[in-house]
Amino acid sequence: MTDISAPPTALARPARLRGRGIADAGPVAGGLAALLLAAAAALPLLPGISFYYLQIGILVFWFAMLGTSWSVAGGYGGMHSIGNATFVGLGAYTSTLLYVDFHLTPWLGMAAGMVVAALTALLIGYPCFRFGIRGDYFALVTVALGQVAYEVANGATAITKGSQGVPVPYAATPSALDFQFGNRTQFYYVAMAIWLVTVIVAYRVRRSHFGFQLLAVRDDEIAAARGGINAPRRKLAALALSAALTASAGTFYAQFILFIDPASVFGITLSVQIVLMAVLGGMNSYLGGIVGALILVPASQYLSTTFAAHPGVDLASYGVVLVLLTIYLPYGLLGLLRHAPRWRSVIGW
Amino acid sequence: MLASAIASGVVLGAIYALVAVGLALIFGVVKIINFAQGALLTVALYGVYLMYSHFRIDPYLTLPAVVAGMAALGYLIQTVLIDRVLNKERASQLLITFGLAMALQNGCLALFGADYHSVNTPIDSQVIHPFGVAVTVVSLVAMGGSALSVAFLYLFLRKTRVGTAIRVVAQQPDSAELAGINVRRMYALAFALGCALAGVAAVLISPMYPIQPNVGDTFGIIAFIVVVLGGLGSVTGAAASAMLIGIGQSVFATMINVQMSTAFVFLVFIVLMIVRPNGLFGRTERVA
Repeated sequence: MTDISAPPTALARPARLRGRGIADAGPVAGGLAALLLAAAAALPLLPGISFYYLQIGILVFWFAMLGTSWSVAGGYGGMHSIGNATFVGLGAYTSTLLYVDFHLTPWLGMAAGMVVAALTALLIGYPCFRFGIRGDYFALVTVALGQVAYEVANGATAITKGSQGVPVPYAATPSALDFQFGNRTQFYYVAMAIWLVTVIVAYRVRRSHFGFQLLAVRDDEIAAARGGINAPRRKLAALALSAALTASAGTFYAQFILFIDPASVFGITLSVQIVLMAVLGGMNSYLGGIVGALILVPASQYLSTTFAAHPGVDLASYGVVLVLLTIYLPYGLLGLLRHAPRWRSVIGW
Repeated sequence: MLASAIASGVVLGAIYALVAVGLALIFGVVKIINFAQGALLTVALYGVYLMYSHFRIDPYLTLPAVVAGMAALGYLIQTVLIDRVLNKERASQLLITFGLAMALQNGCLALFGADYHSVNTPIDSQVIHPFGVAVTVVSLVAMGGSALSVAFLYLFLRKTRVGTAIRVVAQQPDSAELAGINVRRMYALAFALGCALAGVAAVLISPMYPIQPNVGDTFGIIAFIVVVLGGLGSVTGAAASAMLIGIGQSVFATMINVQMSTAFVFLVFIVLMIVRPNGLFGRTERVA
């Protein structure tokens, strides 16, 4: 006799359909991934490694983190934002201005920036999703949002000092509380930690009930709504989360570079670069960001140093790559794995 | 002061209209948002500059060559690049023109450097004073040229067989195919026309703006706003809303704050986009 009182958990979450996530990778691939992570963590310990290479590593993690944050809204939720620099800038300016004007530790400033960015996302997202703005139209709204943010940061000179930018004062005795480190290699670990947290959050979201609902909304909003999912609310939550994660990268940038101006943190080039990371890596996967950044960041560093005398060559090649990608690899590198059930579950496509 | 603000707004609007009408045509027919419209304008401006600096040709006389070159470029872009992504992911279609814009704009930077160039024509210092408002002759020429081009495009789409075919493709690509229209060729023609209009715009504004790699940015982005306000894909709507935006921006800049005038335009755009996604003048996608 079957026990009918057993909770129908197996029914509600058919394991085979869902896959087991990274557990599906198996011991070999999993071990390899762990090894890679350990190698990345050990990179600064390499004798004689120059800070130049660590800086590239930091940029890789930074852009990977931004790409993954973009994927939470753009990949999972189908909201292709071309204005994510807005959130980077909000994060950078919020924490920096709080630090400069009120001596608030950038760690709390980071939290404040995340809140500001999430609120901005809600402010712009609510009417969009309420009135059914999606697809190209949503992308256009985000382009315009980026422009407004850029122009306001440039124009509100009383608060932001405009295009002059804001230098972050260097503490006399650098302390972790000030988000400043005497030994700059520590920024490498901070960047790696921020990236890791973002990936874990993105992975957890992907595997959660909320994540599946989000994917349902992305694939067919009307059908998802019929299935009882509050589509606008799910999209709003994803956008706010994506914005908050993105803003934390802004604070990191400000503390690492020690200078911010509207062109560097609010510029449309940054917005496009973020999308590019995710698209090259595979925008539906939480790992798309790191795959994209591992290729694009070193490539662009190489191009901009090789063609230092010819500014424009690096970004022009970026553009060419983007065009070729959309034609020949529209799902990105990880997208090549999307038809293999096991890997599909690992990369969370 | 208000009168001169409005006058310069009308000139600005006329230029926006030229860029935006091309964009509207491309969106209406090919259903793709061409983020490269501003970069194409930049490319055309460098075309004018090259002919001016190498062969001493008056900028206005470069019109036929620039327009033909831009039309050919547009035809190529559509057939070689965009055609291939039309049945792929929506995100790829969005990104391909972005990539194109980056490649073109930074290609100009790599080839010609970041220096400002300017072209001169005998009439570029002349000013006339109709109704007590100072207006340069070149801006009057730009206005007239813009009006003529928009009228020409409207008549072309309305009165010729090819124009009708383009409009049919815009409304019902499948039925158009059944009726024996080569849809892909109409796409290419629409893209070529859109680029040709950017060429006309480049020639007309060349005496008024310094030529540098970022010159197309503002025009390109404002053109979106214009197109969205006019109702995505509507050519006449784009022309009308270009005027509104040009005047609005100019008046705001004069009366309230120069620096915030662009932000103001974008903010108005976001609000209108959300409240009236089909544009100020209602109705859904339609060409001309």
